This record gives sequence, C-alpha cells and structure tokens, in this order.
Amino acid sequence: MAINILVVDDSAVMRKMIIKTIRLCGLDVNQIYEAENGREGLLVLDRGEVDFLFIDINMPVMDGMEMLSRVRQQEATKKLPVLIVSTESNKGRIEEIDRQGAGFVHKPFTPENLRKKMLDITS
Amino acid sequence: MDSYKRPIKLNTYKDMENMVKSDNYKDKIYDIVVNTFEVTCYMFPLEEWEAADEKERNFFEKGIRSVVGFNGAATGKMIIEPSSGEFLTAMAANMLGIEAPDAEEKSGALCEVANIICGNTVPLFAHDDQICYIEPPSVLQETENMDGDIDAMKKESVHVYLDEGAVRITVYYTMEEEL
Repeated sequence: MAINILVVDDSAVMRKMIIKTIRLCGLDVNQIYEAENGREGLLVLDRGEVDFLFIDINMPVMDGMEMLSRVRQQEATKKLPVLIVSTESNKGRIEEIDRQGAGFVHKPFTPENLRKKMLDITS
Repeated sequence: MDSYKRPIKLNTYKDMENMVKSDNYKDKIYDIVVNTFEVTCYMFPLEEWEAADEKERNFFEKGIRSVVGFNGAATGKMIIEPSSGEFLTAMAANMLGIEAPDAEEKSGALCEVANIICGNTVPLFAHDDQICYIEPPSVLQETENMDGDIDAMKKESVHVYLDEGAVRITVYYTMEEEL
C-alpha cells in the first residue's frame, strides 16, 4: 500500500533533497507533504493522512525534539514511524530520540542509508 | 550495522600552506568537507597532481558566502566560500537534481552544505558529549563583512579542490574552557 509522508525541515533545500532521495528509494509513496517547523508539522498531522514522518532537529518556532515529544503524547500519532534527520552527534540527544521510539539518520546521508532506516522502522 | 562506507579517496590533496596544525583539526575538517561534498553534491576531490595545477591558478572569485554561528561548549563561526558562481550552480544542481537552479536555490544549497559541515565540525571543538547549538546559516554577499569579534578567536582554514571547483572553509572558534 502506498504511504503518505511528511517532511518537516526549515530548509527548503533539505526538504527537496529528502523528497528526491525518498523518490529514489523505490518505496511505494503516494503523497509527500512539507512543513517548515514543528508547529506547522503538527497541523499537517492533525489531518490524519500521514503514515511516515521525517523531522529535522534545529528549527525555529518549534524544534524537532519538542515536535517528537508531542507526536508521542497524542493517541493518534504515538505509534507513527518517525525518522529524525540531523547533523546531531550529542549522545544524550540521540539516546532521547531512541527512547521516543524514533530512528535517526545522520547528515549527510546516502539514498541507501535513508532507505535502510525507513525499512528498519516500518518493518 | 550500517553498510555504507565513506568513499573518501586516500590520495587527495590537502592545502596546508601557511597553516599550523593544531590537534589535527584540519585533517578532520578536510575529511568532513570531502564527505559532505561526495555524499550531498556528488562532487569528488581531485588527485594531488590535479589539485596542484588548480592551486597555481588561485581562482577564488568574490561571491556569496555562507556563515554559520555556534555557541555552547564552543563558540564561533564557520564560513564557506565557493570558488566561483559556476561551481555554486553545479553544487545546487547536483544537490537538487535540477539543471538550472535559481538564486534562491543556490544560496539555499550553500547554506545547507554549510549547516551540514558545521554540524559535523563543531563537535570536534565541543568534545562530543557536550552540547553545542548551531545557529541557522545565513548568506553574506560579496560586499558584506562578518559581524562579531572573530579576531581573538582561534582559526582553522581548509581548501578542498573538487572536480568542478574549489571550496574554502574557515572556522573561528573559542572553546568553553577558554571563555
């Protein structure tokens, strides 16, 4: 079944790169939505159409860690597959991402790496 | 285990002229820059003999740069300068998978590369387990100067020669214990 994806990143270039990479992954993708920060991303999630979520960490208005925390607090999205895409290397933060049940992809990433992480999470 | 291995070439040129090695940061920054360009922009470093020829030309033109500030366990700024407008166009085109990026896409691509390089470089100064905050990248036009006092900071500068141009990365920094 084709999935709907939401990409949340304040950089339009990075959103395009992630979307381009998703298209190259050979996965069955239907709609890809975009949001510039965590707050916008939560509004898109409220529509209930998203099956997979990509989140950047460093964003204005609402950062990725806060968005992830809110996603996990909501009944409708608490089990949503989430992949954090960031240059983050702080062990504490990466452990927190893991505790919240999300995957982590370090920038820069290859299409192979992104695909593997997506499959790891969805399986 | 992640099956991907960094395709960094072993016999590439490192421009160390007029630079003093400090804790091997330059080698690490060089590797980060090469890896970022290989994976993100599909651009690869020149062999040593090719890079020597390019260096003779000293071909850095004045153009836009991107600056990323950071603070926390280390404080400072990183500047990335592409060698030419053509090189910047190639970078953006490769990153986005399009033929003719517009000005906004070019500056956005430069900022994103700056963000990735800075995000991977700063932990070198911040010692990995400490938190360092990366500010959003900004664009400096050719006539603009950097804000802030960088003269008192330590400086690392690296040139990387790639198949479609070159890039200069300069990092100004102060570690937390020095503040």
